[in-house]
Amino acid sequence: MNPHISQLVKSPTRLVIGSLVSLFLLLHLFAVPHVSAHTAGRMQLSAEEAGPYRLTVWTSPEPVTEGELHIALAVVLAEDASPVLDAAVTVILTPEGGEERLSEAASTENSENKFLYEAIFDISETGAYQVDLQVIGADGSRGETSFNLEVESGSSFNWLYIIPVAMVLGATLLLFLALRSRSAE
Amino acid sequence: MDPVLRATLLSWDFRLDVFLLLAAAGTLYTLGWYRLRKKTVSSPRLNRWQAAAYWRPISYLGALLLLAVALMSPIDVLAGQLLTMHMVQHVLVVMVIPPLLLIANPLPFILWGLPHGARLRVGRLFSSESRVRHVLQRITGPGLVWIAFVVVYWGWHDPNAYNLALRSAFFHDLEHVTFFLVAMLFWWHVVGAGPRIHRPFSPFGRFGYSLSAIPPNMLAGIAIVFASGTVYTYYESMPRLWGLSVIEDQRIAGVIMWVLGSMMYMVAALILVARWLQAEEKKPALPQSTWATDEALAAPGIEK
Repeated sequence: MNPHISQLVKSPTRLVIGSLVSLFLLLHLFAVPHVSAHTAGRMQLSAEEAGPYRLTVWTSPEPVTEGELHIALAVVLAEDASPVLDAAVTVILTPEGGEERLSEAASTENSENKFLYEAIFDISETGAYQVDLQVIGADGSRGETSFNLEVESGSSFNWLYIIPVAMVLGATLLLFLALRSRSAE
Repeated sequence: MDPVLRATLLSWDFRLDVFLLLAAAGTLYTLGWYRLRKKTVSSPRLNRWQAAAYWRPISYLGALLLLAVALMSPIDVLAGQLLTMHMVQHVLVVMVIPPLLLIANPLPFILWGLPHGARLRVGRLFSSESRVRHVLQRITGPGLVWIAFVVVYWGWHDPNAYNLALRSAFFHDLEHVTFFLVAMLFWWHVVGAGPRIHRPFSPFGRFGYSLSAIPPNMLAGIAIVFASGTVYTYYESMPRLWGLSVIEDQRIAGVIMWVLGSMMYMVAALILVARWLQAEEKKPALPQSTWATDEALAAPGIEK
């Protein structure tokens, strides 16, 4: 066996610490970006009036890049802000050049928070997009609004996640040094 | 079923990282408790009912279950829509779960859950000559911990910080982690769980330390209850549930923080007093020759 690996196996503390660090790194580096239960992501519209409704819209990841794009909407009645949970919601993405449009139905099934509608797109081209939102209520009442979205090139990796990973690595290093100095004594 | 209630009950946020951490913490503790219990059963000198009593894993695993509920159930999901639900989540994370975890005295059991070599190495970190212990001792004194607890608690309730936590999953996690860490440190001094690296508080000191968290908690709660406008504007853009306006929701949340939150520290202080009185009762009575002298009976307190 590789001497480094056999050393690691002989030292359970290192094995446990190594496994925990690897686990954290894996979870944070390869986590699929999504609109979380707390509607994280960039708020694009806040209580925007659309017919008899008000729409609040978030996009994720932040910044929006090629690949998976999540658009979440809160649909409420304009008169009392009570949630509308039985509407048909459609999200349409139109690239600036006017090429092929992308259209997806947004549903509460796609979202962890069942008070929000969520649509998931696979974006292959960067650039400016117009996002049109259409809401048709159970009674047929209709609301429409739109906003502009810039899709950037590059990775959607959230660099904020470096902070907890660095903290875990720092703590592990300190613990390792403390253990080594103890065994040297 | 009412569609709002249905949406509430179906809103779960299952998180693999939280699940794995809780599973690891629960497994280590349970394994350690089982090993210690076996050891104490075979050794008549050790009092197994005290060291590895059944109530300890019940309290510890119950606290982990509550933590899972606080971080993954509809409480967590609705925290983004109702300040009231967010406050319930914070009361659980700061005032209910840490004392439940700590009364189970997790450190020795988790150490016994580790493999032999790792147990010895980690255990040595808390020995009297260990540098780690000295550093920990310096940075986790009761005064510093109290200040850190209040700064973190008030800091996250600042409207800008709170709105940021609601808008960003990262900052929301950071908020919970820092709340939980400072709460664990605060309750560590109140409960007196291991590692016992500080000079122990007297029963009266622990009582006072527990009550010392009430004023900052009350002040924050009162500020939210009596605010004339919306404190956390993020909620203005969210669907209103059960007919609660933003201001009504804010007032209920403030009352939960003020009354329920303060009550938790009060309950802990009363439990400490009750335990102190119980311990006093168990002390052997003074011999009759001490209290039944003529001097003592005539004028108690002035005898030699």
